[in-house]
Amino acid sequence: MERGVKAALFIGGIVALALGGFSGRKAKSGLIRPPGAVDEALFLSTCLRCGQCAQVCPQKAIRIGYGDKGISLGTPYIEPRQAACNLCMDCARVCPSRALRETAKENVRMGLAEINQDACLAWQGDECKICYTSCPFFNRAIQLEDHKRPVVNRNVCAGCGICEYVCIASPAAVTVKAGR
Amino acid sequence: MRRLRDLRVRMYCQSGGGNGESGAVGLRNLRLWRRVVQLTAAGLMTAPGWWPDNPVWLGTYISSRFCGIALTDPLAALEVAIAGKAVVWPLLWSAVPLILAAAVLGRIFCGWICPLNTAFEIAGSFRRKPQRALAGNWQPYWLLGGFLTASALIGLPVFTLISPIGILSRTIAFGAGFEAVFVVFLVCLELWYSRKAWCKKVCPVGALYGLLSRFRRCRISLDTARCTRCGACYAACGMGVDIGSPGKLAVMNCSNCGDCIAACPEHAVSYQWIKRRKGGAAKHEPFESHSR
Repeated sequence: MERGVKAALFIGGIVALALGGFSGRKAKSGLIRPPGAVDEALFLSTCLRCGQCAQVCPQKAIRIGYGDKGISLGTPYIEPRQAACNLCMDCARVCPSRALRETAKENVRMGLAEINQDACLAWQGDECKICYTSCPFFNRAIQLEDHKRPVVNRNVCAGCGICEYVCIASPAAVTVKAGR
Repeated sequence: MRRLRDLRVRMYCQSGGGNGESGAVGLRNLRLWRRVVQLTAAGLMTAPGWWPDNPVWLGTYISSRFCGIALTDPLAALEVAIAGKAVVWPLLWSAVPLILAAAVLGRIFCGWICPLNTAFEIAGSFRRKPQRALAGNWQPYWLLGGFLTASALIGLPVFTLISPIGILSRTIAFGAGFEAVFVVFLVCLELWYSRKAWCKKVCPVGALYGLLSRFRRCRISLDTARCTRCGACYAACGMGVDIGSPGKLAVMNCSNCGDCIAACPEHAVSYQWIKRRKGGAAKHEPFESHSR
């Protein structure tokens, strides 16, 4: 077979694979991106997969996706239960392709914290305010109902994941869901 | 350490040997120097792990900050610009130093830096497959066009996504995921199929550097008066370049690694700085093709 034909088939195969298999899933990878990330589809287009954000992160919160993350291979994501973002924005400052953009802390929307009331100690009647006191948007993103039970204010929550990191329940009763 | 000292002693003796070719003789140890550069460059990528906030290095070979200068692989920058349908000026500027380096010095990224090439060469030093002919192999250049088109169609930086150079870089910096199998497979090709099959037959990063270095200043030249047609340079060349040939593909595939210079028993091969005439055409008196 002619070499050019082989090359055309190879490229055609990749195009077919990508158009058929990947593009539908593009906008919902379910990964929590570093702060200041552009929307998921544009992020996957513009992220260079160079890893500078992960290397510069002082919290060591940013991980780099391996092959099991599929199309997000090489892209940065955060697992707040392991290490949470403190919104320092160092990653956005080093990003060469503006897939991460420096954003005011208040405007960061990495995800949204959700409290599982069946697992939350405070909701079960114990004394615990750890998420409430650790939240960087103190008394705004997580507020206390009746001075006891935490509730998330979705207009303020940046999705940084510090609440998930500090939650003393195991598994965490508050988790951050990606994709807002 | 001892090897380094030996090297210094050898270089000293040889340059003192003084039969009027000290410059060329110093290049005898080019291969060792290149290995030092390659391994230092690969080791540098681990630096942010054990020395946070170091002023020297941040990033991987896709994009990095070296001594404060932002550097981005030209192909990755191009793909991201095409896929994102937006021009990010800082990103394009960061590709400029590497583009200029390629335009003047040639594919030095391939020959002196690329970790995948380093892995191939180290594997090849254990078991060397015979050279396969390269003649007329334009496939990487076709693939370069194909990947760029695919990036535009899908809106994803397709090659950057699957690049084994990126995968190996990230493996060095962040540890291995299962995608490292791809790199292992390519290194296995080196052992059981052909030398640098990936570089010669596929790599679009190298193809772009090849295009950029088409009219470079620093080239390998062959002194035909000294050449005995022994073929040692051709056998040494991992890229299968016909040394000294002015052919387009030979010029574009040469990575200026200098293995041929060290291999030549007659000291007939050397780096040559091509001067340009006022009209813009290159003077090429050192290039006299000899067919093999």
